Amino acid sequence: MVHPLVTQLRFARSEFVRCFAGVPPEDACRRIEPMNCLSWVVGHLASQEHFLWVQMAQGQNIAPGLRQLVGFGQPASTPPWDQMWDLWRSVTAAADRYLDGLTPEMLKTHLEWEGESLEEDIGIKLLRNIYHYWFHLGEAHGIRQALGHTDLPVYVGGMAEVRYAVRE
Amino acid sequence: MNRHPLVTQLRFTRSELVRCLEGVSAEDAMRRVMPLNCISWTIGHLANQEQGFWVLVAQGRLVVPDLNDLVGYGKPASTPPLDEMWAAWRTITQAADEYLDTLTTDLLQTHLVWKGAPRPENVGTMLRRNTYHYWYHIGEAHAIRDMLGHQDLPEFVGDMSQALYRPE
Repeated sequence: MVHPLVTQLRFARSEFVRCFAGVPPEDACRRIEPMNCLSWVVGHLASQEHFLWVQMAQGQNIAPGLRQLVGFGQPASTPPWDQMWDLWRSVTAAADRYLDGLTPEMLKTHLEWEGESLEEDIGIKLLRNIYHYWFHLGEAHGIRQALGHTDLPVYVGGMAEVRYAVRE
Repeated sequence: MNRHPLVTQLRFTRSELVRCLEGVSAEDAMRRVMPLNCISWTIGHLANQEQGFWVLVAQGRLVVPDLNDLVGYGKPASTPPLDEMWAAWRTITQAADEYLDTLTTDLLQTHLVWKGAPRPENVGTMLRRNTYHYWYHIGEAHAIRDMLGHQDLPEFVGDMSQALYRPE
């Protein structure tokens, strides 16, 4: 059984995807400065998932260079739209191989990076990842409005498939 | 107090909204970057959801009448005064806490009743909806601040040491 927090992360991902439906590639790479562009946002969220759930949790690097391109604190970039979505899909699929195995006990443990245990446990990292999605989803929605996009989706969407249930 | 973990997360999220908007002047808070709503509207809008969920439906009272007409979903755009919206937010969140602090895991699986009918989402799902709604608007407000030319904005998601993951 998938842990409820993982289900919530999947919901955040699905809402994130819903926010970008219909964005033309040329608009995805347009910056409204000083903000980053929409394709950067997609890559940035992929980068966080990659670092947490693929690199640290599984010791794999399936997206070399991604962190330098769209990571926190890196110079602004306007990466290709299709490339960022391809990476996001690859990274989230790889992340799921780890996330699907999480148990309540594991959420109180800590990932390690370069021989050091992370300060935050896996449960906090999951919450942080979820909130990070929602933050950038709101930012991206603001960017889309400023780009003149209309008929945008409304948030928060339907939660019938991710309703609260005990086992946390 | 043995506060429910989901309530702790909502409180953390509220504190992140406050952190996002620190230093915003009354004038800038009422400026619209069209077609987005302004920052003061956002504060009132989030207060309005809390009032609807945790004060009106949960406790059968209103502590800030007419707020829904001013900043509710689907209402015409408005540019309310910043200090009034913060005052409303503080009044409402304080009233909401009287209910939220009583929540238990069992109560989170129940449904509030409004006008004789149970709400479609259980209380736990409403809590998550409320939390995600905050994060969405924190991201949007951060984008508005960027577009208004504000500098040295805070990074998100911030320090979660006071909102640790706790299993139920």
